[in-house]
Amino acid sequence: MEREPNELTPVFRQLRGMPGGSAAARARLERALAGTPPPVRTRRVLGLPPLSWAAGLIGLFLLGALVERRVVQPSAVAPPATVSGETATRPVQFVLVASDAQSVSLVGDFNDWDPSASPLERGEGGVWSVVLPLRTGQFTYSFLVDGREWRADPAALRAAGEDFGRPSSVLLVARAET
Amino acid sequence: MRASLRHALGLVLALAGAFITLPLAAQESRLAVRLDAATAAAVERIVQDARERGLPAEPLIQKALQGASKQAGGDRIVQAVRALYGRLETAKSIVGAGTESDLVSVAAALEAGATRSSLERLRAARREGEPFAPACLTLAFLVGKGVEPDRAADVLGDLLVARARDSDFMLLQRLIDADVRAGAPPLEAARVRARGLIVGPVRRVP
Repeated sequence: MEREPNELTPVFRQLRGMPGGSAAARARLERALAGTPPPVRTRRVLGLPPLSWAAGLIGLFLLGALVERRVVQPSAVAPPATVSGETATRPVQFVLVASDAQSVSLVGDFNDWDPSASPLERGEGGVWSVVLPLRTGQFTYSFLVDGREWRADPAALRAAGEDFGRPSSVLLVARAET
Repeated sequence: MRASLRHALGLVLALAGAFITLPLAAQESRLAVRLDAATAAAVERIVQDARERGLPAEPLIQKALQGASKQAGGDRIVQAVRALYGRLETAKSIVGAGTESDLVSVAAALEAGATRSSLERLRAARREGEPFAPACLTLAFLVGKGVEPDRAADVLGDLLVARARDSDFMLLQRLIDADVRAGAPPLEAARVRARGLIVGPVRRVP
């Protein structure tokens, strides 16, 4: 059975052809060379080395991430007339007076309705407050008291329509006026 | 030459893979995390449809997340998202090319009871490029107080023509609210207060 040629093959051939080399020495040398493991060969898939596949997969991942960012990011239907006015944020204070509450959270369109995202801080007399930077636009939100009681903001317009049986308020963050 | 072919093949494979995975990448992970699988899939279909029709997807996602946070049932969440989709579609037909904020405001006004004709009156009075949201929110406020939508739109249209600022609309709501609490009829309070804003702090059309 023919062995697969490797880097040592030319040397082996040269040694084999050397005059004066004894048959025993050649045999030993041949055995030693035969024991030399062949160089590691990378397995190709569809003719491409693993490095190319890795580069392709990384490229695919980055492209996929780019596409996802483009698709999932909220976007206006049409470019707004004043881009800076639409994307700039303004600090907005939310206040709820709840003297008996142990905790108050602000949940709404601006924090994915996540009760853990925006806890209010308790002030004297049970005046709870938090300030959030919000972009210009209309938002629906509620206060969640002690993790179970939903309350609308008494200082804001009550949201109309479907509120899933738990009250919400509406807030309009107006443009900064010059 | 072979190396070039390999690189080209690698690029083709990468691009093909990206297009195959595109639908997966576009899926909204927030829905999958917060909703059960069937509800998330139903909402995702509506969201994808909205994207394809050029409607804003984020308000739909937020409606679903609101339902999840308020522990509503899956059917009710899907129904609410579908209803909002319909209102956004109507809003787009009224506003045309508008910002997400404009569409959300018009949709909210529709939900509050504003009519198509009242919103079209507001749109006609609005200056090109001016935001629609403050007037729409105030229209929803007035309709909520029992004012007939077209009459409310006439009052607010005058303010838009007079180039009222966003803060003027917010102030108008507070003033009307105080008047109504004191016993004034909402429409009359709106007319008087709007007139006061037009002759007062509201900028006059040059």
